Amino acid sequence: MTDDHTAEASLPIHDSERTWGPLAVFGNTASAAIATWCFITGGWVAYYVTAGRGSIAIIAGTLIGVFISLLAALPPATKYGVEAVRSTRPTLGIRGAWFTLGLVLIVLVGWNSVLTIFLGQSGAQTLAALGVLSDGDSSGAVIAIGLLSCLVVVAMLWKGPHVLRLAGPAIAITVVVLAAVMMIYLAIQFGWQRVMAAPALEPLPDAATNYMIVVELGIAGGVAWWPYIGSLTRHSRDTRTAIGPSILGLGALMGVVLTIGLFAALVVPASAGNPTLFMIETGGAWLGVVALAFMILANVGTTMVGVYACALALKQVPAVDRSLSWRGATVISMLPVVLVLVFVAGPFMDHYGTFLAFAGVTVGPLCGVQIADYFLLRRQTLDIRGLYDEHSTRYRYWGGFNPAGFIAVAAGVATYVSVLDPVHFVPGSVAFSYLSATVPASSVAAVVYTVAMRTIPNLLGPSLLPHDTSSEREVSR
Amino acid sequence: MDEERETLIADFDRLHRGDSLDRAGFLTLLTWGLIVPVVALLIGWVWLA
Repeated sequence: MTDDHTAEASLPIHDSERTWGPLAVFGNTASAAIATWCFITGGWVAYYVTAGRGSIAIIAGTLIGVFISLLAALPPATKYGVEAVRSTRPTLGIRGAWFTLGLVLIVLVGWNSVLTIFLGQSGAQTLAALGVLSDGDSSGAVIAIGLLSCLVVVAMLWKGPHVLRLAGPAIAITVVVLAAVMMIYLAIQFGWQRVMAAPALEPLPDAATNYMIVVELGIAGGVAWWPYIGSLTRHSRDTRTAIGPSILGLGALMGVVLTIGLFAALVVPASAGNPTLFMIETGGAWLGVVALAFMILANVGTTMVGVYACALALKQVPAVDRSLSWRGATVISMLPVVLVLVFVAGPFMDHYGTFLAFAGVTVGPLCGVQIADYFLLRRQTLDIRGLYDEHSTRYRYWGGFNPAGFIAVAAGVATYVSVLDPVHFVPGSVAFSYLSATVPASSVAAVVYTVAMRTIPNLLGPSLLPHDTSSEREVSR
Repeated sequence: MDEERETLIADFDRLHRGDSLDRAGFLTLLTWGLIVPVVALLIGWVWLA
């Protein structure tokens, strides 16, 4: 039985197969978090606030979002080896988890598409600026670079997910160094005083709302890691080993790279947060190579983790797990990305904001439900057969669906939409300026879930009780 | 494969001693994920006003 056998399938990971130490967890979380999407979001931040406030708000917001998603996903992942889809069996039911599968596939394919298209576009523009290509906006060049990155990702994962343990830290360390070079360049080229004094591009009249919109951007970005966290931490040796590196990789480092996009957009608004082009124009070819290396490594590293998580999610379907090899699952996970890149790259990127909103609105309430279920109701004890055995009745509830979970997620989504218009980012309530949107949405979902589980008949009882601990007593003897 | 799967699940159920999130781990998460960011937000709001 190889390590990859269970790592590639819908099976629990045993102690002997948990080989990731702090460096591997940090490397893969950082490698996943740092990508050129940080520049896009950092560019949005510049519309609302200045550099000082923006830096604090976006880093703090990201950490809060990561706190919510880690609290929901990390403990069950490190204890039971579950990834996102399987982890929602207790909250949504054995069939209700199909909803999570759909959501996770949409989110992961969406993120992977964004990264691939962005790498194609930025790569083509950078190569044109360096004189390698004649037309940086050529759709052929964008598609060719994007397809090449897809091939690299599939090739890296071809021999199994164990590659991540070594590749993640190497990519993360290189990308962090390159990001530091970009930050230093910004400071030298423009000076800190100019960066700090630059006004926000198009702020709203109310300063508190501007501040909280940036915090919400950070929280939504942090919560959006939920589909990745199970896959990234289930190989960790223990729970505590995974916490610090995950906070550092997914939260702090991502927040710092977001500030590069913020600073770039403030001093050169036309860059929209992407500093690579004006770095080449003002710094020459060597900076172009730095920028290109950053884009390739950062985006390929993140896409690699995304495709791994996507393939793992697919293999939670028993029929898929039986009939599809790991390599087949990897190729199928990449296929939709290739189709988006070749046929609808432009329209897809035009609706990037809507996609981001969709992810933020739905994932926050799911996190709230999972936190309430795992900590308040089940006291960190799940039934292993209920999670992995298709014939178990433990999490079957009403025909395979847990109504409490769906009601709570719907309540959370309704709360989010009533507090903030997620597409246009227009607040719908004064509460937004003090609470953000994801925090009340997650909280409402958690409260509704707890109440519903205790009031709807046939949900409490054997299905809720911690599983038989006789096995643990046996071990302790 | 089904037998192999059954064995894996049974072994995990019988032997695995996966740890829960303990107090120290929770405090680490709470401190760096919530308390420090919220304090930073308040300082940022007041100090940079």
